Amino acid sequence: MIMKVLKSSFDMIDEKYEAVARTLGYGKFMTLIKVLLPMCRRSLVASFILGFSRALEEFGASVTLAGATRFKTETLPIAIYLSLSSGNIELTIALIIILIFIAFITLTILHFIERSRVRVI
Amino acid sequence: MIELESIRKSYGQHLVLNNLSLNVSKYETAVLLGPNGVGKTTVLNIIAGIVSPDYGRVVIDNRIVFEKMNSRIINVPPELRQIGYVPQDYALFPHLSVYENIAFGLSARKLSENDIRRRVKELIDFLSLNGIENKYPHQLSGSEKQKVALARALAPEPRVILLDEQLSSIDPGFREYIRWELREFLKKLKITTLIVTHNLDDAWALADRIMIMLKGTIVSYGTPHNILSRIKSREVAKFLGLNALEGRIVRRYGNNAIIRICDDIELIAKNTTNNVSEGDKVLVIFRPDDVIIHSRKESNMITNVIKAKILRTQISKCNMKLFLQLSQNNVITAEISRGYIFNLIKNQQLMNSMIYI
Repeated sequence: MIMKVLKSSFDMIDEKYEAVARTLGYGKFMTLIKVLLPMCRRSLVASFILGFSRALEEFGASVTLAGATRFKTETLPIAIYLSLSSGNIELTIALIIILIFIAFITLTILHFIERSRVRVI
Repeated sequence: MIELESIRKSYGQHLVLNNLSLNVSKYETAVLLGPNGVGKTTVLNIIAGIVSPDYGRVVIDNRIVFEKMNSRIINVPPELRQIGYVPQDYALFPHLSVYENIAFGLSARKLSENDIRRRVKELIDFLSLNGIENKYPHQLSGSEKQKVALARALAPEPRVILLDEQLSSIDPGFREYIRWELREFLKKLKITTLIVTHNLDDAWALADRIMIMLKGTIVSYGTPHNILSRIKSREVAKFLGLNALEGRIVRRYGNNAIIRICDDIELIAKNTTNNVSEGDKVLVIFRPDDVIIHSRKESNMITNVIKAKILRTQISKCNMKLFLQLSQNNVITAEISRGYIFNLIKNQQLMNSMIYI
């Protein structure tokens, strides 16, 4: 998912910027650092947030690979699962509210990133 | 200063440049003129090192920067060619201010902060960019963007500057002024410049020398004053908006020649060169604004008078373009002032009127 977002934002940058940076004396790596990465910094932040939120809600892979052990392999979705299966409704609701809050913050940040118009000439 | 020799470049099956050679002298402003899609920008990209040709040699300031002939391969990367490149639409870095854009190439050369500041200040003064140093590209007008892009390209003191379609995004009303301003800057700079454009007015206004490019190669070149007399093909004449009539020399007398265009049209060419003789096929090329129009045949009209039918008309800002049919296969254009033609034809319908040229 992160790669998809990053690739599409790199693809959107006109090759002319890279060409100009090269003729001005920068090699390929420094052009990436000085021009391409700063030009798609919003996409970088957006893809990081998307990746983080995707990782946060991961359940199947965590349970399959690491198991569901309290205080050892416990992620937020696993904690919800464990507290629900042990009948602790108050804790489950509290964890769900925390997850909703994180999702809300994430979406709000993404919304602002998308709204802040990329400056183009 | 810039020499391209036998350059060939294909994209897949599509041959873009076909054995192209060109030469730009030191401190000359040369214009590469041609219709869209003919490979002009590819030529600039090859000189800048952004695109590598399939075959040929590129020399800049007596130094081979690219060579792929026989088994020898040389390819100097763009960052070591010392070229200033201003692409179409300028490509100013949107995340950098005007100052930072101009200083961009200087930081790559590891100059001290003081030297960078001094050089940027010099260029800001030279190009009258004072007061906008802290603005970002999206806050600039078209001409400011162009000047910043020019300053950015000039900052590292390149040996050659390449300008791609510089005036295409400038509003038509402002274009003449910007054209004049660019010409003045280039004159003052004394730097070898290659400009690419498809606009005839830009080419004539900016060039010391014009090179016309068609079908991936240079087909004609010369100064803005003599290039029209060097045109040898109908395609070039058509691209330049000139009239071209194919004919054959039927008789020569002294320095003059009679050229038959078709059965009932013969023209007299005066002061012809000695290398044409009777029976030779020739091309009669003339500018639309050189055509003189009369409503009827006068007694003092002796040579090169042809009867023509107005097929259609096209109005431009000051003039009127007439499409005139001379014979079944020969249609030419004439450009005259709108007032003149209405006065001449008076109340008659313009279309299908018979006139004399």
